[in-house]
Amino acid sequence: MAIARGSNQRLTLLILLLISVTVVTLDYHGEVSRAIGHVRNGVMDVLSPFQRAADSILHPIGDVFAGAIHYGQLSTQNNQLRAQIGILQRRTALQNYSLAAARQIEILNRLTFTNISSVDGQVIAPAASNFRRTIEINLGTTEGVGPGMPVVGTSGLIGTIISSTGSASIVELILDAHFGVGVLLGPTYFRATGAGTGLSLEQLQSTSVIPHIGQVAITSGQDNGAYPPGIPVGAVTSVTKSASGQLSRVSISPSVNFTQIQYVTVLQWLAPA
Amino acid sequence: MLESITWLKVAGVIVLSMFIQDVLLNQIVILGSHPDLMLVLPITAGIAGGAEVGAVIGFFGGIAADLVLSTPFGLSALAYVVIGYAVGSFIASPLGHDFYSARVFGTTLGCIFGTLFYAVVAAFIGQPGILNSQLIVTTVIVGLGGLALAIPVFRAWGWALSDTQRFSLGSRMPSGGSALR
Repeated sequence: MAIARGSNQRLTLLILLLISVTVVTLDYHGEVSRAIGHVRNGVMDVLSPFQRAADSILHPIGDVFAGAIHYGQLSTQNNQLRAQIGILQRRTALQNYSLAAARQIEILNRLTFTNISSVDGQVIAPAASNFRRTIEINLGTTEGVGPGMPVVGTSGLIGTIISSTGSASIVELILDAHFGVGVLLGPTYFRATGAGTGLSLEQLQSTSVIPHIGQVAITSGQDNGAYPPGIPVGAVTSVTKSASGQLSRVSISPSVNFTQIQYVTVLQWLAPA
Repeated sequence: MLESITWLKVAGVIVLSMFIQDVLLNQIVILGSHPDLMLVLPITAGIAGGAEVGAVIGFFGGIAADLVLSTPFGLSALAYVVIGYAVGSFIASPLGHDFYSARVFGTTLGCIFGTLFYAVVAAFIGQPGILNSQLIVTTVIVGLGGLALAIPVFRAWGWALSDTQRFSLGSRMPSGGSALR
């Protein structure tokens, strides 16, 4: 009797394992993957109003505790933000100059995305998985937002939209291991990929120029135009050289503070087909 | 034969858990990780109802979890089936020694090893950036989450699986009745 029961249990386990493996395999198939994506979007559409409500309730509570613990840090950040507002106001005033002057200023400031239409939004939920670095924002196809569009913050690149419903979108952060972007560090082109708390750079061209600590990497616009050029990605935190003195490894820390993201801007930009 | 009402109760527990996880628990981020109620489901079901119950609930709980995740669809189901079955095989509360503390400890332990197993499976099917130092933090946070969530989830299974002898897929439960009583 016990042997029969054990056999039945193992048979159940085997059947469920086979079904699970089949489901995982089917998710890599184009048509089935799209169907699964539609189902997931439907679920996200149902849950996003509740996530917004929960975020609006829990966020102030969290802010109370954070404010009490980090008062000094918040005061410093407040002063920094005021300075940044001043810079942005000055840049906005510059845009009132003639087009030729504005283009020249953009080149000098390495800003080439100020004339891209954009939509401002808010984070409504952090990552659903402990193994993916994503956020959910309150912008969807209704607001003209869709997969592939870059997401930026006040200080740099946040990530890219990987799925959208009518009212919400999932953003893959630049820290996620699936994320990659072409960047320019000085005169050299690199490929940056997410590495958990920062990004790791892979050289795309041989160079004798060694980056220095604190040097800012910006999007190069070279990765098939997936991102407009000139968006700050992060600053160099470590440079490793080989025994022969050649550049071996570069790590950068993101420009954006991902522990305090609340407001984002989606650039309505898609890579050319 | 399966009892429809039991399946409905189980489905209700899974759907409600998915809702709580996605709306509430995902907001509780500690050092970059959050508790995982969907992992607690098959572990507690396995402890309380046995290996087969743990595997079945692991499958359906995993499918429900994957509906709101960005990881490959079916990954959670694949991992939770094994986790639920393994926990049910090795940590099931024997009749006559049904202490809540033992169940809670078993749930915490199951969450720790379950998180590590999930990460290994994810890395095996090609998900990048899984096996890193953050995994240690995630394991601790999920383990603590299991510690906090175990008792309410056991109570939920006590309600949903009250007819456990007729719940399992054709196999008979250990003699003496349900391990939940």
